[in-house]
Amino acid sequence: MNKYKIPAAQSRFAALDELMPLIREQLEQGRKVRFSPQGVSMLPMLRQGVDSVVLSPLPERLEKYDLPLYRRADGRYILHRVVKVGDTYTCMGDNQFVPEPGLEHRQMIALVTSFCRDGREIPVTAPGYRLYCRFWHYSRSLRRFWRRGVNFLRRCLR
Amino acid sequence: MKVKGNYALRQVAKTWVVMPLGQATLDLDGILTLNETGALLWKTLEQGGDREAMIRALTGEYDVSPERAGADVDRFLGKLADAGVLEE
Repeated sequence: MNKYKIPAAQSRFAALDELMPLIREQLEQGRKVRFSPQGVSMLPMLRQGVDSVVLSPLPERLEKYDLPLYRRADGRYILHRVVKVGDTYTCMGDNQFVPEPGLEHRQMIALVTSFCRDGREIPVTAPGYRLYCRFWHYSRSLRRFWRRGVNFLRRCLR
Repeated sequence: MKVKGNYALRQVAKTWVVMPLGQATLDLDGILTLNETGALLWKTLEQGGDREAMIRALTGEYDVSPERAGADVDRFLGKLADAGVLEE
């Protein structure tokens, strides 16, 4: 006889890698997938446990400021913004300052086409969002300088 | 009590997932996942089985007493009802 385990039904967020076959299947059938990203690397756009994104099938090529879901060589699934397009892509989280170059198109899985924030679904074509992408990207040097300053002041006040 | 027609059980790697059907967007947040015994009970329900059939399915497949299986089936059905995937 098999070892008995209490029957379980859980309504929970299942890990992305656990459900990746299902996600890929949905996308291949032209369907969309909604999920809540984990982590803080896409702040302030995406707040962990609050906001969610809608993934759509991947286009033939990604463009600058696109937000793809991709798989790193180490197997981890990442949702970061394309900040440079060449033979490969360079991606970076909105809350990060170090770009990740050398990403190939075959590593890309899906593209965010809208996101839900405060109960509102915002398409990535919305003018406000497009402005945010550009402003946030080009202000990163200033933000980095500001963050270093704040950290320095905190250390001085301790 | 039976499973609503717009849900289907799918095995994805080692996880059993209750898939909502006919939706253009699959919402992974709060998706219902089952373990092996939960999947067995779901399949029994899908085939039109009642509470007694679910208890028989558990005691037939696993080393568990009918009393304990009955209590676990009730708890499992409660969770499915809370998730809104059952209908009378």
